[in-house]
Amino acid sequence: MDSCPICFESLSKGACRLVECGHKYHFNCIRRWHYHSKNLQCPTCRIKSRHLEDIERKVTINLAEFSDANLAISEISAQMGSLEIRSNEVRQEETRWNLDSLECRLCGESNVRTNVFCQECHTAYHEICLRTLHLEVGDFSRCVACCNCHHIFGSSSREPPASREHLARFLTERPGLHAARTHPHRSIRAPTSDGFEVVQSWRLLSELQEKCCLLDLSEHKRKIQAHVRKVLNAHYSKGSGAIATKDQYTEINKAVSRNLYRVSDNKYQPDKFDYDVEALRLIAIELRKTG
Amino acid sequence: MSQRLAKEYRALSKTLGRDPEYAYIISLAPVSEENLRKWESLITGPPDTPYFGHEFTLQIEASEAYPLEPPKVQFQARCMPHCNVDFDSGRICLSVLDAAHWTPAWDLLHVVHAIWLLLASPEPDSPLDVDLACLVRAGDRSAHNSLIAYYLNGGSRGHCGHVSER
Ligand SMILES: [Zn+2]
Ligand SMILES: [Zn+2]
Ligand SMILES: [Zn+2]
Ligand SMILES: [Zn+2]
Ligand SMILES: [Zn+2]
Repeated sequence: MDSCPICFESLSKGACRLVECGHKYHFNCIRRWHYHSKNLQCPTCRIKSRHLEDIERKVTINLAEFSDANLAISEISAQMGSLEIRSNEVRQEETRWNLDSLECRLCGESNVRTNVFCQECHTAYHEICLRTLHLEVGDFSRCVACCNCHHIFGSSSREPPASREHLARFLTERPGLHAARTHPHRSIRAPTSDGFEVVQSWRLLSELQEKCCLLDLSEHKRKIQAHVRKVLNAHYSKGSGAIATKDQYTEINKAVSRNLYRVSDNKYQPDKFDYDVEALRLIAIELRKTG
Repeated sequence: MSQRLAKEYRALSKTLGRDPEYAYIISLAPVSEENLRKWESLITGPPDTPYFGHEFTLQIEASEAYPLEPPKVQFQARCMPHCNVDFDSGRICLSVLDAAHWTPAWDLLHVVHAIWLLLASPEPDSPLDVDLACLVRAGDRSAHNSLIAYYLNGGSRGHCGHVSER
């Protein structure tokens, strides 16, 4: 079994091949080297590589385009919708590979999936790297901003003041935090006893935020569904003949609502969509399918 | 990648003493097993050079970013008269040790070997020792070699590289 010339570990997992010269490395190792050296030369033969083939996934990427990551991210962020809404739909097969492979602007690593994308400047981050950085500079607010363009992720309106206070207290009371602050990356990579509490606090915070997101998401969905039900009730009231059973009513309601969530990016956007008209149109389509 | 130095250490215990190419390396190992970032190597000078028969200590330090960054390597201070070595500090001018030329596919053995080869072929174009570089440039090999031999045997620059007992 070959071993990776960078880490000397076996290439049985996560191997990729530089297409131009054929030399093999772990994907993460060669990308860390590219990131570090700021050029695309092969560490073994110094030939400038343009393409990298992921052997397991059989995907070839154009390194020159991928290098600044902008292209990939702009493609992805278009599908991501906004940061707050993380639906399962973004984990589509064709985006998975790119998402897994994007490097965090702060730590340069892609071992752990980056999960924050700035839509303004198309930069990827690990949420924890971004948050640790904010913590490091003494910013305890729940809003995090892009380090590149200072675009603020998320909206401040749903910031629960309780958790902010909780965190501020948490941070000032804990010993060992100073060490974690001066070595933010240590706490990210391997939570040591120093960094562990910081990691824990952010985990707590992310959970809170996740909950907020879900609440938010269901709020958007609830509003959209209200239109569907209103239209269904107005035009196809029970007994009018078009919809025969309660099950059919439920099925159509579900299918139409799902369609509407998707077209409006999981956000209730009454200024952009006339939900009543859209619902009516989609209901007609569903009826034709089932009828 | 944190395991890489441990891997090198393990591989070296097999290579050294077996591969005749590296017979000149008396030792290449971490100073203490507790800290794999600090190494030391004891080498003998290459044949057909004034360094032959002398032993030299290299001090090696790998940063946390190793192998993405080259290790810092230097001779023990005031021990190595060479046109690419600063005699007082032991600092070495060698392109593979430059961040711009380094590649993570190299390991500490490569580095030590490159330095050993440098002993036999001084590069007067990037000198840290002007006197020796002038002699190399002038093509006066015998004056160059005897000046080095003079220093190595306790000439006025001070003495350190001692004559091997073997
Ligand atoms: Zn590797
Ligand atoms: Zn190559
Ligand atoms: Zn980081
Ligand atoms: Zn990161
Ligand atoms: Zn940005």
